[in-house]
Amino acid sequence: MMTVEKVLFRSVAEHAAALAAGEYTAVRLTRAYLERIQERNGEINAYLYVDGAGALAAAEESDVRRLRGECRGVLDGIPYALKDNFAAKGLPMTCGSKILGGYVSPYDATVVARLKASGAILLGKNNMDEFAMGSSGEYSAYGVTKNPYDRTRVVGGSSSGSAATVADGMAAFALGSDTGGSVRQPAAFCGVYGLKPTYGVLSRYGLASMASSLDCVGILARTAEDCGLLLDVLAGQDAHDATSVVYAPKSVQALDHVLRLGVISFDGVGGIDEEIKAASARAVERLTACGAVAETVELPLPDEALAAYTVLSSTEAASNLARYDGVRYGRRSARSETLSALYENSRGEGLGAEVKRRILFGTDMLVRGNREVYYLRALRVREAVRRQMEALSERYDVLISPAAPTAAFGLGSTPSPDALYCADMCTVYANLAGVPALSVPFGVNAAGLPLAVQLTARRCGENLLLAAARLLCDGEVK
Amino acid sequence: MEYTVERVRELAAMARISLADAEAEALCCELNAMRAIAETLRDASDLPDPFLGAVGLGEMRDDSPHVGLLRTDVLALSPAVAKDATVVPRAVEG
Repeated sequence: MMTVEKVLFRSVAEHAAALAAGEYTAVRLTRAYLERIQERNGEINAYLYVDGAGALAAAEESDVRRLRGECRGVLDGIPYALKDNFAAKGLPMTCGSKILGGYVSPYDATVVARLKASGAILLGKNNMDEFAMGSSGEYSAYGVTKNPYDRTRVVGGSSSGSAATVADGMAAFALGSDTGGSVRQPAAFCGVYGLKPTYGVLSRYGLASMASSLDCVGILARTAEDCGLLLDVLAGQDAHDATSVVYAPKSVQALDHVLRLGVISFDGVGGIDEEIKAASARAVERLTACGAVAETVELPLPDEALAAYTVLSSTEAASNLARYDGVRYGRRSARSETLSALYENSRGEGLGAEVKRRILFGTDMLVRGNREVYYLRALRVREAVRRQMEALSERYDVLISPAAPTAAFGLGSTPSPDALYCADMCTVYANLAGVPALSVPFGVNAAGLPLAVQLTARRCGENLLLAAARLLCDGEVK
Repeated sequence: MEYTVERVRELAAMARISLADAEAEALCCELNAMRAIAETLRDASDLPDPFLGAVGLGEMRDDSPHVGLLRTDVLALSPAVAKDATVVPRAVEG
């Protein structure tokens, strides 16, 4: 007989089959996850808020629907977690920041509403780097999230709690957000799948904006199949998000032709661990053994692309975060005598150091003179990158690279500048070009820490990504 | 141009953020590191304009066909349209 702990690590598809077969009820499953959270969260700090009563009530409704033959589909009765920068009606929403302390969302984000309509059960809100700025899980105002594989190491970020939640069996799946790798990098550090879909495929309505032209809703799950199932439910145009696009759900399908694989070269780029290089090489070998044709490719404009990402993400963040002024949302400074002082003190007291740094840099990049030299040129670089990535996707179905240059690093330690540079190089291209990318867990290093590769495809090519991921992990020859 | 404490304070005033002295000093160093990354853009030239480059100035005519408020040739250049998806901006929906 399967232990409760093993059940908690089942995939969404496995849970759906078990619920349909009557192996357990949604209430029993939800209660098991809540017990796991109670047991583990004190150590990992993956959840900022747990809605136990709401989750159990939703689970009871799911069980009643199933008994009546009114099951809403594959997600009905499946418990999940939500990064704390998504709006969920009646629940706190802090974005990992003190400035939103006490704020309760009055509405549901579109993706939350779609999950609710599909019968999925929200367990609670996950910890995150403040306003999605950070890549270690150490920049939350509510404490560090620790890596379930090794509590002395970071979990990655900014979707830190979401990745740890899935990796540690505290939910069946989680939603995060990805502006420059914030779903894929923590997924890589935690040995789970992290999907950043095509820009616009998942509605951003109800997701707190960091850099609107780069932000994407992302999926963290245990299998590629789960990522596909969730994409099918969540994707679709939304009148509340003018950048949302039509996307035809396709789930995971087998490839109907020989996979054309572009292997991204990192020759001359320092900072990549030998174990990561070896894992990437093994992944290429496995895919070619399955019939893929591989060629080495260069990333376009590497230095300029990183500069463009730095400038665009900071300028957009500076603009988006102007709304947190102590008047309309959350925390207000108690020591201000004028309106101007109220704004400045509320923001000074409520925002963390990393957020202030990016706001100030973004502000500087937009002042007269700098705007022409940096911001407008960054837009041109992004357009050039987009076109060159599009040209690459005409020649290759999937590009493969490391998802991160190192495995999870130690808490409180800073990776080398080379490693930081390379970490950005691995992930920001997909955001600049608006194309989908998937972090695929692929083995562990000598210390037992997860390693991962990243697959990137053309716009709306999620199906290719998921099929290639299945090929990679199952070694299936189709 | 390097960031100084005075410049950091000017930017903080623009962004409406109060800063302690120690914070402003620490930010100088961090902002200089970010500026060094951005400097690469000074050398970026001959790159396409994201708004006009795809269409070309010679093709910008007032009598171009429109769908709602959007020119059909501009709409057709949307990458989403090219990949069998449809962007429907509010102007068209209305």
